[in-house]
Amino acid sequence: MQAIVIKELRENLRWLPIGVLIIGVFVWLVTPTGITYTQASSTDSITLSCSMGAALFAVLLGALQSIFDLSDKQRGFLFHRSVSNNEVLYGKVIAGALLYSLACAIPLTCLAFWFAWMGPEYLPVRPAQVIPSVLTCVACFSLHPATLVCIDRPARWFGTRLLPLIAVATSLLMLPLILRSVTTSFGWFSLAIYIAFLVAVFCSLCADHWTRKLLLIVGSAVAVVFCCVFVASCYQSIQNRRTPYVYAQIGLDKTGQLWYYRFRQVRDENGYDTKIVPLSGEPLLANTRPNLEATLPHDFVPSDLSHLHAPGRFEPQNRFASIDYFSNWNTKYLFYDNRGQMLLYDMNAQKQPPFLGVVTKDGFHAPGEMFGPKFTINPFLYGMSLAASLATEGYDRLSLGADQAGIYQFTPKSGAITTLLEMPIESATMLPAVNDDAPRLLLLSKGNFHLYELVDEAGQSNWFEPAPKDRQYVIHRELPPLKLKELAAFPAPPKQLSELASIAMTEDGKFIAVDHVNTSFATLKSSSDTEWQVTRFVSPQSQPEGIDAIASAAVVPIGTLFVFVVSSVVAQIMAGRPPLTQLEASLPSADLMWVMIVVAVVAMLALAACTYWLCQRRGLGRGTTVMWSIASLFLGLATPLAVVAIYPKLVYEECPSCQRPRRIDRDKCPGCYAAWSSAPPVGIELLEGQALASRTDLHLV
Amino acid sequence: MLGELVITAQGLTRYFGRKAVVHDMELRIPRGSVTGLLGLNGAGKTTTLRMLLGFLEPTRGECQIFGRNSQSLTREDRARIGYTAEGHFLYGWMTVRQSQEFQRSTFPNFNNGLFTDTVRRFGIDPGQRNRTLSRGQRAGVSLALTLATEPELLILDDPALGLDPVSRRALNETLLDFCDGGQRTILLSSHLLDDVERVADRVAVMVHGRLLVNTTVDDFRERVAAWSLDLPPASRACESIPGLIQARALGGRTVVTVADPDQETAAAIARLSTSEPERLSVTFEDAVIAYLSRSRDSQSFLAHTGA
Repeated sequence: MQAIVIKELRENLRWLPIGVLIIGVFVWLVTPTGITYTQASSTDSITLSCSMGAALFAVLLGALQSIFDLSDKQRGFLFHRSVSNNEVLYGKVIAGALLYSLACAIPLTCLAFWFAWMGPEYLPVRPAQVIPSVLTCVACFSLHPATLVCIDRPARWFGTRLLPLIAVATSLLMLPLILRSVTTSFGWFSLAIYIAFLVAVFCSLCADHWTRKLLLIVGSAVAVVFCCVFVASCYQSIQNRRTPYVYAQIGLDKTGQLWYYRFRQVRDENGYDTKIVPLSGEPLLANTRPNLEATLPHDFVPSDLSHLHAPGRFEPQNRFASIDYFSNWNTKYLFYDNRGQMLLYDMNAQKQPPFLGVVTKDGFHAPGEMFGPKFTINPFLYGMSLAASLATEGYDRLSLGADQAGIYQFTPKSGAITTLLEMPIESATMLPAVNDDAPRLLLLSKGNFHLYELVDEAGQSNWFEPAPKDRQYVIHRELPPLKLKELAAFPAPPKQLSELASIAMTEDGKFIAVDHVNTSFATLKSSSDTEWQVTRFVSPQSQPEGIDAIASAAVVPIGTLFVFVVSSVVAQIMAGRPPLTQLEASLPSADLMWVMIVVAVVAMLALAACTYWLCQRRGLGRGTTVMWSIASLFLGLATPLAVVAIYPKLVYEECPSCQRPRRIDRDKCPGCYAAWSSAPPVGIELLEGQALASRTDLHLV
Repeated sequence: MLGELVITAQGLTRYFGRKAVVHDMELRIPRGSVTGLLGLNGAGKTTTLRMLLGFLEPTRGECQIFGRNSQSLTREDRARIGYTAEGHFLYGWMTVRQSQEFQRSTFPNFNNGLFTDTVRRFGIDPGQRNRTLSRGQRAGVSLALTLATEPELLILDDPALGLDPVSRRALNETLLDFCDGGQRTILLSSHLLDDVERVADRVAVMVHGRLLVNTTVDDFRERVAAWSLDLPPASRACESIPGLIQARALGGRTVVTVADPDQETAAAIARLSTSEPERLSVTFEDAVIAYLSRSRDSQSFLAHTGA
C-alpha cells in the first residue's frame, strides 16, 4: 500500500496549491478587514468559512483522485496488482488525507500566527480560535472517502450515485449542533454516534462491507426529506402568494381574560406585508378547542405576554470559541462572545480597527486587558427584553441588563455599570407598564418569583414618564440611576410553565402564565396567593385543517415519518423538554383524527406494498423482502429508494420453455426449472477435438 | 488433449442492459499456449478479458484462472497474471524508471533485468517521461512492465494497436521469447491477423459475443476450405452448403468458404456448380476474415442471402 500512497501523493501533489488557495480564500474572506472587523474575528465565522473551503477541496480531491479510474484502461492498470482493491482505495484516502491536511494546515496556521502576532491589543482574538476550524476540517475530510465511494460504486449519476455524498454532507451540517450540545450527556451520545458514522464512512470503501448499505440508507432518507421539504416549501410559497397568511396568537384583555385570536396578514402585489388585520377570537377555557368563530370584544387590545427566558440558554459553552451577539449601545457596538467577553467597538472612531476594549461587571477595560468579572451570559439578551418595555416609552433600549448572577444598569455616556441586584437568577422579564406606572421586574430565582419595582435613588417611582401617545419621533432618554424595591415574592408556576413561559400581570394584580407550546396556562389570583391554578387547553395553532390535514397525513408517513418523529423528539430532548411535547401539540382535532389515521395507514400500506414489489423485482429473498417492507413503515419513502440504490436492477427475458419472464442471471427458470438452452449451432463451430471424421476423405479437387 | 488448463470458462455470459455482449462462452486455454482472441470491434473480446481478470462480474456462468474464480482472485493470483490493457496505459507524469519502481513495489517477483532488456529492445531511455513516449515506445514500456513481473499467464488486450512495423516485430519477438520455455501462457486479443499467426499456436474467434472457433492454428487452417464456383453472384443457392462460413462474389464467380467440409459438403458444391468447382488454398487470414465477415451484416453476403 505504501507504493500506492506514494504514487497518489506524487500524482496529486499538483492539487495542493489549489487546495491551499481555495481554503486560503475562504479563510481570507473572514479575516478582519474594514467594516467586518467585529464579525470577522468570531470563531463561528472562521469555522463556517473554513469548513466550506475544506469541504469543497475534500470533494474535489476525492473526485480528482478517482474519476479517472472510471476508464477501463486506467482501472485495469492500477487495480491489477499484487495489492487488494481495498488497499488501493485506502492508499488513496491516506494520500488524500495528507494533502488535505497540508491544504488546511497552511492557511489555518497562518491565521493562528496572525492572531498571535496581532494580539488582543489590536483585536480581541487569539490563536486558539482556529481550533474549532481544525476540528471541522477533520470532520469535513469524511467527504473525501464519500466521494471515492460515489465514484467507485456502479450507479447512474442522475440516479443514486451521489447518495453517500449527500449522507455525509448532511451529517456535517449536524456537526455544529452536536458540538454545541457536547456539555450534556445527550451531546456526548450524539458525538459518539457521529464518530461511529464517520468510521462507517471509511469502512464503506470496501464494496462488500455492510456500512456501504448503511450509508446508502442514510443518503436515501436525507434525499427524501430534502425533496419533501422542497416540495412542501414550494407548495407553501404558492399558497402564501395566493391566499393571505393567517396566524393565531394568544393575548390578554384588560380583565385578564385570555383570548385565542386570529390575524390575517395582507400582502400587496409585490408580496410585501402591508398590514395585519385581526379576524376573530374566543376566550380560552379549560380543554377547549377554539374554533375561532367568536367575535372579539370591541375594546380588545391585544397585549403580548412577556417572555421568561430559559435559564442558561445563551450560556457560554466553548471557552475557546467566539460567537458574537451584536448589540447597539448608543453610538458604540457591543459584542458578547462565547468566551464570555463583552467587546466594545466604535465604528465612528478614527482608530483602525475600532476595537475599544472589554466591558465587564466592574466597568470598562482597555484593549489587551481581558480580565475582570465576566457576565455569565449575554446581559443584553436579557437586557433587550428587560428594557423593551422601557424602550417603547422612549428610554434607552440597552439600559438594563441581567445575567445569571444579577441585574445591571448601563450608562452609555459615562460607560458606568451599576449592579442593581446580586442574586441567582433563572429567568427574568419585565411586566409592561399599567396605568402609566413604571414597568415592573419579575425574576425567577430558586423556584420563586420576585416582583420588583424600579425606583430612583430617592426610592420614588415617579421618575417614569410614558412617551406621548401621539409622538412622531424617536425619543432617546437615559434612565436615571435606579434601585430595585421588592414588592412581593410568591411561588413559581408548575415546572412545565415556569421553564418556558410567557407571563403577564393584569390591572387587578392577577398573574397569568402561558406555556410556549400553547397547551396550558396558569393563573394566580394575586401575589399573596400561594397556588397557581393550571388549565389545559388545546391550541389549534399548529394543527393542520381540512385538505392540508389529510395531505400531511399522507405525506408524513410516505416521506418523513421516521425523521419527523425522531427529529421532533431529539429537538425536545435537546431543549430540555419532555420528548413528546411537540407531538402532543400537533395532534389534529378529533373530527379529522380518524380521517388522518385512515389516510396515513393506507399510505403506509401502499408504500410497504410498493417496497415489497420492488424487492421482488430485485430478486431478494423472502426474509429480506419482508424486512424491507417493514422498514418502509418507519423509513418511509427512503426505503424503496434505498432498495433501488443498494440492489442492482435485474433484467428479465422471456423463458424459451415456459414463456414467462425469468432473470437472466439465474441458471434455471423459477417457473419451469429449465436451464438456459445453448444457442443453436450454426454449423461452422470449430472447436478442438470436434472435427468431422470424414473431412480427411474429400475427393473434390 | 489440452493438458493443464490455465483459463476455463463455463457458460460465461455478460449482458449490458438487455444486450448480451458475451454469450454462453465455453473456453479452455491450456498452459504453455499462445492464444489469439480474434473478433471485430464489439465482438466481446475486451469484455471477456475483463471478466477473466475479475474487473467485470459475469451476468451468468463463471470463469477461473489457475482454478480460482475470477471474482475472487487474490493478490498472489494477480501476481501470477500479467495484464496490458488496450492502448498501453501508463501514468504520463512518471518517467520510465519511476514506472519500473512503481511496478516493482507492487509485484513481488519483479525482474529488473528483464525490464531493462525489454526496454532496451524498444530503444527507450529510462529517464524519459511516459507522456513523451511514442506509441510504440509506450507499448514497449507497458510490455516490459508486464513481462518483468514474470507472470505465468499474460493477458494482452490488443497490444499491437497503432504500432509501426518495427515496434510490432519487436513486440512479437518479445512475446515469443517470453513463452520460450513452454510453461507460460499468453492470451492476446488482436486485429492483426499476421501477427497472431506468427505468435499464436491457438486461435479463438468471437462473433457477436459467441465463441465460434477455439482450436489450434494448424487445426483451424486445416478445417477451413474454400472453393470457387460457377455461380452468379449473390445467389441464394449457396445457403444449402453445409458448414458454409461465407460466400462472396469474386470475378463473376462465387467463392464459398466452408468449415469442416465432408462428403455432404462436396456433394452440395458439386450440385450447385455448373462447371468443375475450383479448390482454393485458404490462408489463416482468409479463414479468419471469413468468420469475421459474418459480423458485418451490412457487408456480408450471408446477410443478404439470409444465411
